[in-house]
Amino acid sequence: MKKEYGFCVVFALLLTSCGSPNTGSQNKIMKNTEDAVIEGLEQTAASAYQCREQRVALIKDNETTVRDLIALFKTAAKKPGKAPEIDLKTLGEHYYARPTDADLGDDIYGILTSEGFKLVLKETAEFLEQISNNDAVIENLIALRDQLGKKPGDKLAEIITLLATDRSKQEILFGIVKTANCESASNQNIVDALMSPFLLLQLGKPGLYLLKNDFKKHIKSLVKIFEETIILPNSLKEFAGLVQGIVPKQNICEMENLNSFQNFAKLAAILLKAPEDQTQHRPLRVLLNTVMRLYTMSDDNQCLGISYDNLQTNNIKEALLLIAGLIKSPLEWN
Amino acid sequence: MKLINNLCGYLLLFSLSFGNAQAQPSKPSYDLPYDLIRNISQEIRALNILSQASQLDIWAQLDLAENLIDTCFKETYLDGIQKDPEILDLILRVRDGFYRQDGQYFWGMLVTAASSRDERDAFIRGMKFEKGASWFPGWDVAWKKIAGSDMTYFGDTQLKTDIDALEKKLQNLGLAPVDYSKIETEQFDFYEAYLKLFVRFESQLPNLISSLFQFYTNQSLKSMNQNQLLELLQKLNNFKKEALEWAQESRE
Repeated sequence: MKKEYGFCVVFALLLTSCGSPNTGSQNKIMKNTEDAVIEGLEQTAASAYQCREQRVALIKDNETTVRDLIALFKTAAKKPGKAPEIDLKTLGEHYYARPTDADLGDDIYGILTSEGFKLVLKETAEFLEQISNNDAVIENLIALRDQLGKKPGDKLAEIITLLATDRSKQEILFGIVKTANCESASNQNIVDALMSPFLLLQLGKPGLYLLKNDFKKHIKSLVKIFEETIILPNSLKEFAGLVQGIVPKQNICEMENLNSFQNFAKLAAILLKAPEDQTQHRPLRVLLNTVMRLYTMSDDNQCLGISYDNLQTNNIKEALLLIAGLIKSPLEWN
Repeated sequence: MKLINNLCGYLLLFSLSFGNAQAQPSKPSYDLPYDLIRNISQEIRALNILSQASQLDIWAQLDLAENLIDTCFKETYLDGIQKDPEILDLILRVRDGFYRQDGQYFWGMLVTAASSRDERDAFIRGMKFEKGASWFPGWDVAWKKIAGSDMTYFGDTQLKTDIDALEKKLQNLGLAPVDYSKIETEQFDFYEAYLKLFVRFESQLPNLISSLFQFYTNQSLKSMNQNQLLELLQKLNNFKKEALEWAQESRE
C-alpha cells in the first residue's frame, strides 16, 4: 500500500498544483503538500529492500532542496487573479460510473481504481518495456544526455533563460502570436511582432550552435524511431487526450499580458541557473542526479546509487524497467 | 538551391534591421499602417498558410535553415558594392524609378504575373524571351497575354535600363547571373497563396514597404542618400561577418 500511497501523493500534487483556486481549504492542502511528499518519499525509502538507511539519509540531506522545489512548483502553478478550476467530470465519466454529485476526491478515487485506468497503467508499463528493448532509443538518449551536459546544454539553457528572464523578449513573442492569430492585435502587439528580428539576432548564436551540432542529429533520430518503430498504446493516447481536456485553457487572444506565466518562467530560470562555481551543476541537473541515486541505490553499488550523469546503457534499460514495474505494481496488489 | 537563394534574399533584407538594434525606440514613433498589417494577418489566417507551413516536415525545415545560413553568409558581395560609388548610385536610381510611373509598370507587371497560373506562365516566357531565348512552344499565346500587360510598357523605361545596368555591375563583382532558361512556372506554384496576397494588397504594399523601411532603419526610403545607403550596407556587412563567426564557432 505504501507504493500506492506515494503514487497517489504525486498524482494529487499534480492535480492540486494545476491552476488551483485561491481558497482557504485549497491553501491548506497546498501547505501540506511538502510534508506529504517528504513523508511519502521517506516511507518509500524505508520500505526498500536494500540501502534503507542510505536512502532515508539522502532524502534527509536533500529535504530542504526538495521542499524548496515543491514550493517553487506550487508558486509557478499559482496564477494571479481568478484561475479556472480543474474539472475531472469528463475524465471521471469516461473511467467509472460517476455519480452526478461526485466531488474531486470521488473522481480521483474512481479514476485510479477503474478498470480503464488499470489498462492505461498496464499498457504504459508495456510501452516502457518496449522502449527499454530498443537499443537505438537508449543509445540516442545517452548521447543526448552527454550533449546536454556539455556546450549544447549550455546553449539551450541560454536560450530558455533569455526568454524566461527578459520581459521585453516575452512581449515580442506574445506580439508575434497575437498579430498572427488574433483579430484584436493591438498596435503595440504589431510593433512587438516587428521587433522579432532583434530577438532572432540574440537567439541566433546559441540557436545556430544547436542547429549545427550533433544535438539535432540525435533528436531527429529519436523522433524518427518513435514515428516508425515504437507503437504508442491506444489507452495511453486516449488518456492523454482526456487529460488535455481537463487542463484549464486560456484563449491567448483574450490575454492582455503574460503575467500569468511569469512564475513558470521564473521556475525555468531557477532550474537552469548557471552555477557560479564551475565545479557545480545547474539545479535541474542536481535534482536529476539526486532522484536517480535515490532510485538506483543497491548493494551492488555499495548503496551509492547511480547518478543521472553516470547512467550507462544498461542503467537506462533498468531504470525504464523499474518504472514499468512501479507502474504495474498497484495492478498486482489487486 | 533556388529556394535557398530566394530565402537568402529575404533574410538579407530582413537583416538590414539587425545592425540598428540599439537605435530602436521602446515606443513606436512611426506611422505604421497598423490596419493594413492586421488585414494582411487576417488574410493569411483565411488562406491557411500558417497551418500549411506547420504541416511541413520540421526536420526538412531545419536542414533548410542550416543550408540557408551556410549559403547566405558565405558571399554577399557587400565589400565590392560598398567600394563602388557607381553601384551605390544605381541602387538609388532604381529606388527613384519605383517612385515614378516606371515603378507602376513594374508593379503592375508583377501583379499580373501573380494573378493566375496562366499569367505567370506568360510572364516567365516573356522573361526568357527578353533574356535571349529565341523561341519556345506556346510563345505566341504567351505574347498575347504579355502584350496586354504592363510588361510592354516597362521594357522602355529608365527603371528597366537601370536594373539591367545594376545586374551587370553585380555580375562583374562575381554574382552568378540568374539562368532564366531554367525557371519554370511550376516552381512558383508553392507560393500560390502568397501571390494571392500580393494581388489582394497590391495598391497598399508600397506604403507598407516604405513604413517598414522607416521602422527598421530610422530613415525614409524615398529620401535616403548615398551616405545613408553606405551606412546601411556597412551594418549589413558587419552582421554578415558576425554570422560567419557564429557559423565558425558552431563547427568547432
